[in-house]
Amino acid sequence: MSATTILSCHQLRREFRGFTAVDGLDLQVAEGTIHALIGPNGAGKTTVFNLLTRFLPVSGGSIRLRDEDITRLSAEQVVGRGLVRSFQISAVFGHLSVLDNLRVALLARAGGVHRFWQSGRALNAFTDEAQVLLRDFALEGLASALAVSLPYGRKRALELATTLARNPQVLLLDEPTQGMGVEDVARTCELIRRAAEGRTVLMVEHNLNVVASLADRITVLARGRRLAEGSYQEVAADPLVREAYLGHASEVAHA
Amino acid sequence: MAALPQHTAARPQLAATLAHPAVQWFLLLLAGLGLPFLVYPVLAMEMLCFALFASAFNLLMGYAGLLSFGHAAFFGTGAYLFGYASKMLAFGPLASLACGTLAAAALGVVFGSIAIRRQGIYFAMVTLALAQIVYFALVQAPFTGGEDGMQGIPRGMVFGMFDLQGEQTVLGQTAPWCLYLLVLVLCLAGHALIARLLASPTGLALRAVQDHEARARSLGLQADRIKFWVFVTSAALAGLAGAMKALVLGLASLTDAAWNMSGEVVLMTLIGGVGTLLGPAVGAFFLRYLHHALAGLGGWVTVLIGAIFVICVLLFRRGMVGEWRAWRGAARV
Repeated sequence: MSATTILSCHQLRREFRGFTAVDGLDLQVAEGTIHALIGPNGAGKTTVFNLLTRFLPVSGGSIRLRDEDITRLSAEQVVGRGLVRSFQISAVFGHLSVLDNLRVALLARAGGVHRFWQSGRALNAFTDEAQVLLRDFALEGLASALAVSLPYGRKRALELATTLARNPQVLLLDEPTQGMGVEDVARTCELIRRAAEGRTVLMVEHNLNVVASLADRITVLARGRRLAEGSYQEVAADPLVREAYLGHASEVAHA
Repeated sequence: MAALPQHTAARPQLAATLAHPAVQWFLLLLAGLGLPFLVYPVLAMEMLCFALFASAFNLLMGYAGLLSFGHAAFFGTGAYLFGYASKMLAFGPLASLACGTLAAAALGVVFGSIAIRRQGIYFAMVTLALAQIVYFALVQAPFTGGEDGMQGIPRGMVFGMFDLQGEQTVLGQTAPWCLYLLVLVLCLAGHALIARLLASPTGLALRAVQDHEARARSLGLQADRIKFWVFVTSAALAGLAGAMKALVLGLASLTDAAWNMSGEVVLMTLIGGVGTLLGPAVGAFFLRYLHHALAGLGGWVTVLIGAIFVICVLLFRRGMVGEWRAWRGAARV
């Protein structure tokens, strides 16, 4: 495991009208690793994601990306610094074609969004790179289809491809395999493994098989706090985790 | 499908030619030139002004997903500032049109800064409230003529050559052709600007923002900034439409800035087809013509238009152009 921390938070806190969803969380994500965030429903995983990616303002604490304090930056600003997220519910631009889904991400990366004076032909500059991504994610035959018409698994593949089009250094995946059948889960795992090459990944995931096979390090959250951290074996052996999160010890043993 | 008769081969070629943007703009220009032969020229010009107004509104509602209920403020500001520049400052018509447009754009910057972060019904309410403030400011302002409005705004000359006041006879039709050409060209230019904007990289980003704002932001698209500038553009074009209307009628009145006008433009856009390039213009033509043709019915016109609106919302949600497109799309399959 690499020693440098790329993304971290210190005493991170978020309250919703008296309810503390995240309660003084410390988290360090090491560069180049796949780090999983697990925990029972309501543990605050998605809130942590929303705080880290600046979709929600923090109630307290700080967030650092490399050497920079990003606690007060906007969601759009952190994307520019290489921190890009996906969403729990598959998030694609349904009324754009599959190709345009990718081209708009590439356009954002190139900083060309505000070139309102250019004609649509300016977008052709991104077509080649988009085609490469389409091939990587086995979407090449669907380039002109509207994203809304894709089957669920393909949508998630498109979402991952679009996220990668931003070429993030740190990739935050919110339940990437949620709602998928077994085959799609296996395919997605493979895609994540490939996407993680040369990158850091922080993922929220419920499927423990996925966590076991992908994650280098796991942080267990419960009630907005860190309950345990370590490799899958370490975490699975922790009695606190068994009790609070997994409930049945047998599940861990067979996962 | 393989055994199509030979003569249909010419049709795709014709369709391809017709689909070319330059050809379509040329056809629109021809249709525009023919309009004064069909309807009373001043009504034709009024229709063109409202077509631009509705398209400006649709840029915001159809492509940014923002329902403004205060667009009359921009339309009215454009009309009054045109009148002020032309009558009080004795500016020429083009400079006065520019004044009306810029004033509306500036107002758009103010409205946009306050309202753009609001969503859905809150956005509509904030824009309505701001538009009411503008309305009362126009009632009180010293130069607007209060309830009487600003009357007798001169039309003037363009480049000292083209008299917008006088009438000319073309192909047996006597009309203020110079004025008509100016209005038609500006109306088409406004539409061309909208079309170009939507086809640009910014247009793609705008569609992404409308489709899924959170996702767009997560990819680094500055949703608020994009929406803000689209709002300002929409306000400016609405102001140009209002200024042109004041130019055509020689009158800027409170009805231009009243909330009924904000409602009227929503109607035009919905009946014509929200989110289609030509729908709002078609809706504007239809409603203005209806107002004119049924003027004899007095207050019943409003009832009738209300009924049409209800039928439209219940049965033809996509509006005239939207339904026609869907029908053609279905026929092709």
